Amino acid sequence: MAAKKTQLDIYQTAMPLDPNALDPKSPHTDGWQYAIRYIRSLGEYTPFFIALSSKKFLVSRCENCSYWKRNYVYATPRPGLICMYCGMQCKWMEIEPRGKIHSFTICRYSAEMFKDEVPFALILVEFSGVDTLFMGKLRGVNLEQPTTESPQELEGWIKSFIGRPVKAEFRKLISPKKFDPTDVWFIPDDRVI
Amino acid sequence: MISDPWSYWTHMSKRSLGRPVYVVAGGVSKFAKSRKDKTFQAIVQEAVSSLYSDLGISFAEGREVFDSTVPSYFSDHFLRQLKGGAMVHDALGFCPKPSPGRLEAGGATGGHCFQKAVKEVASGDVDLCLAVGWETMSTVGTAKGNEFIALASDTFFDFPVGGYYNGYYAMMAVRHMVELGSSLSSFSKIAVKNHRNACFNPYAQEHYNLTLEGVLAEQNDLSMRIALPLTRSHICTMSDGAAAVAIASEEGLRILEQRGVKLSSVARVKGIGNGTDAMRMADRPCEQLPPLFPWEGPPAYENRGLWYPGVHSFRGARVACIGAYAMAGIDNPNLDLDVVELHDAYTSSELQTYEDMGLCRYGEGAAYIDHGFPFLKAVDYGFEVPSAGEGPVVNPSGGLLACGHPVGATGLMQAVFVLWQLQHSIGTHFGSEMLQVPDANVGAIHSHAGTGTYIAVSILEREEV
Repeated sequence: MAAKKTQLDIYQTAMPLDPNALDPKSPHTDGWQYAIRYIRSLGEYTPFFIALSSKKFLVSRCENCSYWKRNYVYATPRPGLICMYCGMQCKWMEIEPRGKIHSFTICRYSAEMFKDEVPFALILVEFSGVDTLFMGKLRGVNLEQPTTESPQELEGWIKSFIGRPVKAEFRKLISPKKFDPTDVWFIPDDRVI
Repeated sequence: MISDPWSYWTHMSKRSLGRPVYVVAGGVSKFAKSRKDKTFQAIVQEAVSSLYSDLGISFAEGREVFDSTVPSYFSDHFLRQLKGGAMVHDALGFCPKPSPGRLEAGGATGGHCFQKAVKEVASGDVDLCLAVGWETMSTVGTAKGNEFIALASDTFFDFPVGGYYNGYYAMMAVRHMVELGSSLSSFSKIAVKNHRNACFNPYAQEHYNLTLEGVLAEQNDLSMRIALPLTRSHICTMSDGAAAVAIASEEGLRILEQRGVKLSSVARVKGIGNGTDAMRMADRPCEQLPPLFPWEGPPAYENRGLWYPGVHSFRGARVACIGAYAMAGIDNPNLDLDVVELHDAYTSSELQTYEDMGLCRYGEGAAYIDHGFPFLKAVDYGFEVPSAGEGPVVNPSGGLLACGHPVGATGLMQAVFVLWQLQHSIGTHFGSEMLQVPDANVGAIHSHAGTGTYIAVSILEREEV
């Protein structure tokens, strides 16, 4: 049946009189939808995402790392929880998720999947006693970039974010957990240190 | 990780290509936002035809004389076609000749494809190899395109929070400003440099006569803001296009000569190197010292409290340069190199890369730009460039910022432009001598992927035939 229909379609499409004279500027384009649901395991990262749903933030620690000659602590767990320097298995450890902004940006455009969320701020967070950083969204700040008279003025505004204390906030129990890194984000930490 | 830079350099100096390898010709298709006029195979044929016509051979002679192809493209998502490498090999008429298969290395796909083809020849496996690369990015809209590219970052942690490449490089740029003192005006000068250079390059996608004031003013224009501090002119565009490079052994040169190919000059591949870094920039260490070049004593960075590489520097680029310079015998890149085509997907990453490549020391990138070292003397940029011509000219072609970044083609496009510089044939190819670096003798190609996860650096030297 299908083959017969294709035959008909061919006959219904007008052939150009001279195919060699086909206008190369007006080619036909095809369209293709490709929607698929991937089921992917979070594997050894699972405890990290489960912990987020209990409002806990886990880091992973290489105990007595033979490269660094001390504990080396990863804010973002490494594949296989294997220390990238000495190859030992890291151990999960809960920390109080308060830290400082290491770097930041305000995204006004994004990947299509997040286009309804712009503008949003991304930050890299430094936690004290942790050797690597964690990437997340920064919320609870005014994302309006001021109109500036000089590049130095804008640089000053950008740099004013660096080093600012932040703390983690977790997705509320009532809302469905996504078990992805958006279950945690960061807000300014006004606690006096 | 590299505890003793001198023994590392010595170790890297002992590498060699095994036998001499030459770049003999190159070709580039027209780069455009959307090439709906041709299929991807036909766009590659366009680049290869231009390479063949430089050699003065026909398509039929080309498929006969070349031994193999190394095809490269970045994304199966953009192409919506797996085995695109086999299809291009086929479309070039090479079946049933050999091909080692498609090469993919993110943004550095083209640069790694170039090195793969060099190694194919160096190993003695083939005498004449075609490196071909392409990308057709117009198959989807810009936001979906950014998403496809963002899938080349960690999709467990970085992508889901809204991470994408403009944002990643923006955070690196901000940290570079904090840590190593770059400024918005130094980034903006790079935007002006590359876009104004491109005005004399007919192959470039964008011909915008930008001004420094105009680029800085983008900050106050809501529609131009992309990812703070990067506005529109700081970021390369998506592109459809292809590029091809012909690699030959000495025997390959003889074979071409027997075919009646007349070459007055070629480029000898003097050194190749590549380096890597952790996919998630958050994982990168903050050690005290960069891997040093032998001419930089440790005092260069002592007591600086430098976090290295952190997220502000590309450790992989430094390692790639050590590999390439050590093999090529380069011990003063500022004097030894005449021209550099460098992966400027962002103005900020061009500035960061000056430091990684040792064109200046870490922390001196902004001053390097402000003195005007990487600028062309012949071009008017609308501001003073007192030291233009005193160091290697960087991105005389206009770079990715203005030429476009059809990912798999990009590194090969850079190789083609460096080859033409060394052949002193920019005038012939561009129809103007404006971008020809005077007496260009040694050039570098720097190809870079995913916040510095893959970097390939290759050194070419002019050789008269």
